[in-house]
Amino acid sequence: MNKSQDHYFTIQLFNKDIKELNFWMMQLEQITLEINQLTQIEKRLIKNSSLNYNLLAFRRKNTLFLATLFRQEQRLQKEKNYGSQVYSPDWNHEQDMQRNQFLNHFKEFKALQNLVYERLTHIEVC
Amino acid sequence: MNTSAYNHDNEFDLFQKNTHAELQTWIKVLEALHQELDAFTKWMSYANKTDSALLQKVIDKRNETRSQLSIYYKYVNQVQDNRECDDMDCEIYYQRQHEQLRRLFNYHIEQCSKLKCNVFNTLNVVNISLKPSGNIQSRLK
Repeated sequence: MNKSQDHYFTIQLFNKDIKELNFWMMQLEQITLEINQLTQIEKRLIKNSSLNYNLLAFRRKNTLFLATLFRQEQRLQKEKNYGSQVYSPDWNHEQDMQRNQFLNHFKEFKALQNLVYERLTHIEVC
Repeated sequence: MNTSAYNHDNEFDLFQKNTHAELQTWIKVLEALHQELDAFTKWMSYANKTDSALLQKVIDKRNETRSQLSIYYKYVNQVQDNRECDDMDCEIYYQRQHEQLRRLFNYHIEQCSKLKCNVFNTLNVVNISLKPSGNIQSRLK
């Protein structure tokens, strides 16, 4: 990293990471909401206990991941306001790691959601 | 485009790599959303008791998602040209453009999640109205 880092872009880099984290957090909150709705649908229409268990397990995982993201956001805010005013590549690596985690988490949720939808279409057709 | 950061990268390189990686995430989220809305339309058109206004809304959102996706596919190619910038103004221009797209994307995602909530709610209502008749039929058998 160049020592003469532009202050404007350093702040922008932090802001960008924070905004991205906020978007992920918004998505995870939305996932929690959807899981609650899917659980209701499962109870009323599908009535499959293993699916119910999977949904609840995923909700727990989702909450834990959300907590990790909140903590990361706090760390970034602290570094931006009171830190050394340098955006080191370590932050970038961490952000990349979180991004991959988010994408994997999102894929897992989509797989679970597809499972529910498949069963639902089966019920509707019947 | 390689999005991993190196020690020799300056702040603008990092900024650009972040932008590219972020865009890839947006595209993946939108592709998933498009598939989901597609599944909704198929499944709602098969169902007997479907609110046609709601179905139309879902179809509209699906089409909107598709058009947004085409915007992002074009924008990904454009981001790679930002390296040509020589001065701060040019960089800020691209940055503002990205922020505008972020606002557009967030707004679209919010609207879609509201619509999904509506669809789920109608599903629950339909289910409540169907459930007693189903029970009665099973009892009659």
